[in-house]
Amino acid sequence: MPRRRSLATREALTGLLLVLPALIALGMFIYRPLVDTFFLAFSDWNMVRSERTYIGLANFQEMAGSATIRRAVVNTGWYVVWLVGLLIVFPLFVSAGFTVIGRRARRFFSGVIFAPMVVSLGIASILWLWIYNPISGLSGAIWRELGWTPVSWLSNPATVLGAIALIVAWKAFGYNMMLFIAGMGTIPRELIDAARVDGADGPRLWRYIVLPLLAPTVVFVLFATLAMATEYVFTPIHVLTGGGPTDASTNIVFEIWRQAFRWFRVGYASAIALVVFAVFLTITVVQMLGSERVVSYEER
Amino acid sequence: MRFVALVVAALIATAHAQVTIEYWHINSATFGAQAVTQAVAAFEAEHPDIRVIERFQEGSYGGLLTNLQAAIAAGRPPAVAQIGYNFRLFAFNELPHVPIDTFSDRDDYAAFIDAFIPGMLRLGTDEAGVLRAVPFAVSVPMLYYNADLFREAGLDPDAPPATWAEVREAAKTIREATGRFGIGIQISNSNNWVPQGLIESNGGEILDAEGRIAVDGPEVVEVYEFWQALALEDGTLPVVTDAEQEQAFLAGQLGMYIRTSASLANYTAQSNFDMRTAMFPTWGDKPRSIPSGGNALFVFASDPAEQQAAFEFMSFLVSREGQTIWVRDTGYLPVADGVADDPAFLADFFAENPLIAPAVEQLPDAVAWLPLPGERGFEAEQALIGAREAILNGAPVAETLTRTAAQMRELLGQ
Repeated sequence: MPRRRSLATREALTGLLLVLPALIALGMFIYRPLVDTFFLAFSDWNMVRSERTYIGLANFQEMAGSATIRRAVVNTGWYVVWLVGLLIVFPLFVSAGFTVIGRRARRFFSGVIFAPMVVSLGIASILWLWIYNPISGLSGAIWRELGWTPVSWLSNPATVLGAIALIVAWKAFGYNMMLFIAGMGTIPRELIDAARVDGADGPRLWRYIVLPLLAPTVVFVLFATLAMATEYVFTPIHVLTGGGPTDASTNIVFEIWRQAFRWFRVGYASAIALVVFAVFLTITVVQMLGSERVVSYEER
Repeated sequence: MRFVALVVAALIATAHAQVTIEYWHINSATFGAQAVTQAVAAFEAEHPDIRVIERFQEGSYGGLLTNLQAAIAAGRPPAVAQIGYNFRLFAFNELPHVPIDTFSDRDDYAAFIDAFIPGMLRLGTDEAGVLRAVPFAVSVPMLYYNADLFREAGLDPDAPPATWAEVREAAKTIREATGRFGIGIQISNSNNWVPQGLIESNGGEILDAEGRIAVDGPEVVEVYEFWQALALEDGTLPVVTDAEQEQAFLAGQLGMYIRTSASLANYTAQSNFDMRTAMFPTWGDKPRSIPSGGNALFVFASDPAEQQAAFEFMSFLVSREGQTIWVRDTGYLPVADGVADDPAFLADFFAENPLIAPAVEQLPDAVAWLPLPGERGFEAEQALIGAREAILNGAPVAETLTRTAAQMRELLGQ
């Protein structure tokens, strides 16, 4: 018996030793900054001054009353709406279309649709600037050709958020579609055939067979999309609009960055970051608890 | 044996003599990178004991400052960095730097100081009169115009508009005759450089003499009303981002463009039409007042040898030779006295490049680029940017500026 335990101990030690490098890296680059952020959230600091002033909850109070933060949160919500439409609903339809076309066409189109994924968001933003430019860009030329007045996509508060979302969607679309196609590939053929025999037509086949079985993929993509709506959109915002016009395109991550690195309010930015972290932690926990129910292949 | 000893001695000697300093700048490939490389090469040729590593920083002065802040926090700042004039108050007060006054015990210090155009050093001096930074790049906004479009519209390309009223008429003519947009005004989503020039040339102020926010003043309202009229009433000014205006102008789709003189070398190379320049338009007979854009060089090195090397390098950049390289390849204006008229340096360049002449001519009208004071100054600046964006999208001018002024006063604690 004691021999066994010592073996277990030895194994545990070896295991610990093996994960140690990863733990150190995680600790240094993820958890330590997280702890720092926590303390910074209660202080006033500009990152270069030697003293940090403890100010209690003042940062959080300011955040609660800030119209800019409210705007950034609402915008982040709109980015989610746009990107769920462009990156979940739309790719689902397209991948459904993929199931009915020939293999060669499928290969061609998946290459074409996936291509933007390899372009960096910074480059993609500049590329889209040439499309959006209403004076000398592609959209301007098309609009004029159709006899319409070209739209200032990036300078009009009504269009800018959608225009930014579209750039991110353009890039990530192919990736999400691949995920959906792969997910559909795992649905057993017999199930679909059986449903057909039972008289399930297109929409009902989707509602009762394909979508439930695709649920794990959809949930995964949904979370990736949430991350895009908060993080990915930062790059096009930064490159193209700076959050404008009049905060119409800002989002919560851009606001954190702007407070910390443009206005040098690192403490305040940390407080916002901490709240965002708490919100995402809650979402993740809820998702983990709930996922077992949604992502089940049985019952239903 | 003797050979080895020689090699070792040589190695020790070079190790002693070589000082490496880092220089941070915002000069991208289309904004003066060539001038930086050339200047560094010329400097190193004169000073074999100093090696300069130049590093381009993304995102203009704001981006550079962001990275600098991180480098300072990490204890590894560059020896020399360009700080935009709009950030100089922040740098004076918050960034640990080596004031230029520190070098006053050097033998060449007096000559260094005397070489500047009188008054220029004000741009690097704090309120207490301490010279903290070296004014290096000076640019002014001016009017670029497409002479081909002028001709097409029946306007005289040799008589460009001199006042805003004339700009408005010319823009209308261009719009009607050619269908192109008439006028663009350089904007930024992080500062109010050209707006400051528009406001102060009209007799208005962003900050009044007592340092209070004054953007709700009648002269300021007039400026923004005019700007809005160009965009919405006349439809001659496109409401787009600055990058889009630039693309349009260089593509020959925009008749006139108010833009920094620092873009001149790049625009001359990139435009394939008859591009010309004129002075920044005035409001009727009111005197022109334009903020000098650009940057001052700050020293952040902590090592004494690096500090001295940094001083040598800066001395070269503002010397007649250094200025010649810089001005030629950018469109910035010289800070060194006499270099513009010196046949050994820039006299030929200025004679052969009439496009830079309007910038030089209006240099006496240049004033300091105004940073808003206090910890929340940057946010106050952003509020004014937001007001411009709202106004160009149709918000009522006076109301918007009244609300913005209140917001700015609150941010500055007024």
